[in-house]
Amino acid sequence: MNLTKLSWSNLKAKPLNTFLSLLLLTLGVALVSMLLILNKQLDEQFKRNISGIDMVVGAKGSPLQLILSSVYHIDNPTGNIPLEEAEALLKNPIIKQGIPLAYGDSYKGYRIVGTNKEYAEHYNVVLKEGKLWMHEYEVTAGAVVAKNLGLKIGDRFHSAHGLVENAPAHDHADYKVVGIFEHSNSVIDQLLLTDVTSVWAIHDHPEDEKKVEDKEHSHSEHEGHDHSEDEKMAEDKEHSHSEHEGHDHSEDEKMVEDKEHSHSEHEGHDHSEEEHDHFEHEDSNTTINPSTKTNTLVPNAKNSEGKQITAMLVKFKSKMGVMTVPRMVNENTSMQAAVPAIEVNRLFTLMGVGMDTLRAIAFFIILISGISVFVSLFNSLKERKYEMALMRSMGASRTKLFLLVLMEGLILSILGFVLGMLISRLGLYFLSGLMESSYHYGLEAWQFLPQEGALFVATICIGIVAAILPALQAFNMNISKTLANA
Amino acid sequence: MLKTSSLQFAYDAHNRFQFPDIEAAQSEHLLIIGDSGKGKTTFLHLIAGLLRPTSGKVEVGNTDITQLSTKQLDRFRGKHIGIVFQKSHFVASLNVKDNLLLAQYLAAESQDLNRIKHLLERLNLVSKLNNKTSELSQGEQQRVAIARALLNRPDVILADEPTAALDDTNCFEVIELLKEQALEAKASLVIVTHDQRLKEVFGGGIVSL
Repeated sequence: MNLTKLSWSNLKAKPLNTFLSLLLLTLGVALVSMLLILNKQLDEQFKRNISGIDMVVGAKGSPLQLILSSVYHIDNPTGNIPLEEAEALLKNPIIKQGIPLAYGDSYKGYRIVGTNKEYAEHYNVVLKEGKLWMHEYEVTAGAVVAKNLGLKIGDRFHSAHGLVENAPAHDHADYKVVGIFEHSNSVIDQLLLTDVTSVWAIHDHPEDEKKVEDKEHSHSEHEGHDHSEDEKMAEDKEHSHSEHEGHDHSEDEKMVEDKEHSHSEHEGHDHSEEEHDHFEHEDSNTTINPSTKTNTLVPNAKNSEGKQITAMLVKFKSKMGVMTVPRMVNENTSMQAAVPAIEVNRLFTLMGVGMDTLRAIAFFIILISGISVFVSLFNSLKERKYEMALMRSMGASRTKLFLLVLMEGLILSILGFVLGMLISRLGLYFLSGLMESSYHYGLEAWQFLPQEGALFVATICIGIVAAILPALQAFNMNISKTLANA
Repeated sequence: MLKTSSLQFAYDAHNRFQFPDIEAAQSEHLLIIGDSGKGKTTFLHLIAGLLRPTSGKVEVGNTDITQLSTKQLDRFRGKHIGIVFQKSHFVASLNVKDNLLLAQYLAAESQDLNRIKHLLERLNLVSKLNNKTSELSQGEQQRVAIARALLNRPDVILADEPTAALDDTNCFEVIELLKEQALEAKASLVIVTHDQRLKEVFGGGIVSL
């Protein structure tokens, strides 16, 4: 017999009270911990994939959409830009490197991205087996794609047009898997990389000019696709259209705002950004062959005239580029430039409101659970007053009774925390599966955050605070009176 | 052994009590009898150190317990005084065995299951070891309470109306049991009661309040 055992027996003797307190505690803890992990991992995922990309150039439209589509590969692209114009921009001396991205096709829901080798180098991915793509229709698969689709070197597949699953397939050409990347925790894991020329070729079969082809394409799309898809695309087009024309003014204003934003940010975080730059430098100098800047985005192209790409990822030589080049691009070219850091910040500010609300609710639940612990301890103590006096008569000190009641609050809060963590982890595990199947982004469920240590301390404190008043009551009880009035 | 001298207690200006001096040597039995409102329970609580007197002394062994601090008093009570209450209250969430183990734990004695079994055997209760106390009959509960009072080999056993809730048969049995066990433990036994039945059967000294 000891205090812990006695507290535990007392809790077990009131299963409903204990259940209610535990339920609330568990819920609150689970919610807070899930939010903490979600927030951190989303943040990490987004920041990791941004790293080093200072600017994205693509077709005019929503800058956030451009970033989401070309950096994170989760939204539809805004459209295409002429390769020549992108290459012309590349001549700007402040630009260190430009990486082309060409979309169009997917395979079983995974995007096929036409790019060059610098894209793989940028994310520091290592080949697990095979080699990088060399020729048209050769594909190097990201780790997750290869695993989920069971791709092996030498496999051939037909791509499907568009970025959605079950889209009509191009049957005239085969992609061939020539390599598979090691897991890198970056977007590459979720992509099939090929040469830009593959993407051109697959949409180019009648040896036509790309522009004409594109028009035909959108035509045939209308005929060939199912209805809902068509509607969506039409909507998309309308959307980008109206945004283009109708909201031109406000968009401009917004961009000016954005620029101001980037300005202040630049001043504010000068130091860290500089460090970042430094790091980048080292990285590209040591681990990857120093990429001497080329003004050709698509080295394999025999004839780049009239060709298009979807977007270009740009790195600047100095961070000063962020302040001038995006404005220049937006004002003087038919393309749009977006700065990932700004757009992601904006996205997180938007999401932050929701996160904050949820967190407030979660903390509120924890608070309520604290009150529930208090009420149930207080009530049970009223019933057990005589027991307490009895224990005093058997030699228990006042401190012992105080600790006994405190222990009950403590056991509840520790149990609540443990159960909450368990549920949060299980929840994240399932959520991760869900996200992986719909966005191809996974979560790392089985990790612990320092903030969860703080959450533990907070939960314990709530248990103690809830128990302290009943415990003091036990401490100050008049034993003679309690025994006499029994 | 137990000795009180000029013990007084006041709840307030109108509720004053003055108690006769009593003395019970080792293995001696004392019956304190009085009607309601005479301060029987108050007297017992003073002797047990559950209440502090306004003036006077309570000596258990060689210790004047009125001089002890609250903490010392709790400790002293656990080791040297066994109390049997009118209604045999237990910690409801624990079974018979754990209630008895608790008594040893709270008195800071080593937890000795063998002694508990031995005692319960003497009281014919060993089969109830793992029962909840609420599952026992009144008489059984009172016997477990006696076992608990005896458990830590106290110098003094105090009983507050131990027979009030019992029928004649049980009443006499309980008194015999208390006397027998107190003798065996070489403890002084003080019973406080209004139960006139006890006058006839009690073999020791009788004090009227």
